[in-house]
Amino acid sequence: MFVGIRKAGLPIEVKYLLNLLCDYCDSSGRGKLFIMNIKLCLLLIFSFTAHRAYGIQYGVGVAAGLMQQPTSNYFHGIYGLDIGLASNNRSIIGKVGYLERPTFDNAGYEDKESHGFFWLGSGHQISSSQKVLVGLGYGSVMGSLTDDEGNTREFSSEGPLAYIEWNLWYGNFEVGLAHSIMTGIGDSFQTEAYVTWPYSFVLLRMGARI
Amino acid sequence: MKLVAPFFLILIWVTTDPSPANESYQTAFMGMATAPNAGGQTAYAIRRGYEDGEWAVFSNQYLKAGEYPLSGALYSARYTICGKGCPIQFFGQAGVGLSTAGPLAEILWSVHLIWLARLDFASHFYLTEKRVVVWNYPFWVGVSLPF
Repeated sequence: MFVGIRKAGLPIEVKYLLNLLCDYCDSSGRGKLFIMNIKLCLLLIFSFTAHRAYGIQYGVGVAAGLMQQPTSNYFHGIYGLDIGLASNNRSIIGKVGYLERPTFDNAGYEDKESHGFFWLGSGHQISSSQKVLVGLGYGSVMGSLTDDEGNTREFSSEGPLAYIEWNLWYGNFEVGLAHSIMTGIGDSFQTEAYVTWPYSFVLLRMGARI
Repeated sequence: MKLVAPFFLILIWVTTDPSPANESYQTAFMGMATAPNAGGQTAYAIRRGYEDGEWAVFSNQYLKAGEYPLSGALYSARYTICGKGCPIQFFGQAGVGLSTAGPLAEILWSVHLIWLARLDFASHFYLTEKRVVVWNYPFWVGVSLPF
């Protein structure tokens, strides 16, 4: 890996600093664990500094919107964040994210839900500053329900997830209006009865990418 | 051999672009979707798709708008992830239309398996008199034919 860093197409200043650090690691002899940590650290530095040379974008975003429950069809406010990788023109995109809704306390019950997901997809150019991002992935909704006596019931549902976002950007900043649907698959008894649990999300997303 | 020959003819037919304008059309017949209730939902649709979009009419036998099954027609813009060259095609779509419950918007993801089976995930947003009603069609299955 050290050789890889030394040969990478980085600015000369970064190369010099990395070389100094690598030489120190090579000669320090502080044990494997220390070297492993240094390697990991260098890998991260390398990854974040070499992204332009290798055509990789890193993105992070926050989102807020509504989640529709499949049983009640109620809408709940929801918020969260995501991180992602993309090719430089965003023809290939991958994202991992987390959303949750605040604890709701009413009629002797307290409930909360959260949602984790990842998806892979691509971006379609609409204009010079607009894209439609479309992806397919997998997600999970986890929840808990606690009564006044402290009895808690936890539940979860997971299944395929489909995502679409109208994305508008200026420089490194972007705003998007997104919709996703996660289809929770139950046990075999439910599946045989054509029962699934679709959670749908409408989100306003703001983010940045380098 | 007699049994296999029609299969190969069909395979050649479905993998050959049938349009003189070099436009690949697909006609899909959707019939059944799962739902958060026992028995799923019977929802029929005929969808006529091409490279950049898709026209559709549908009728959901599970939902009623007044006395009759919820029905509508719409047009969707299509965003291709993997198109006609892929054995598993994948499209994202966004569209608008009219239904017996009012104007609607559709967000749909479609997976076409080996040019014949079709699996959709769709959300419909109905603008009714008093509020927006969202109804989902997870695992909406049908067949898709290349003409």
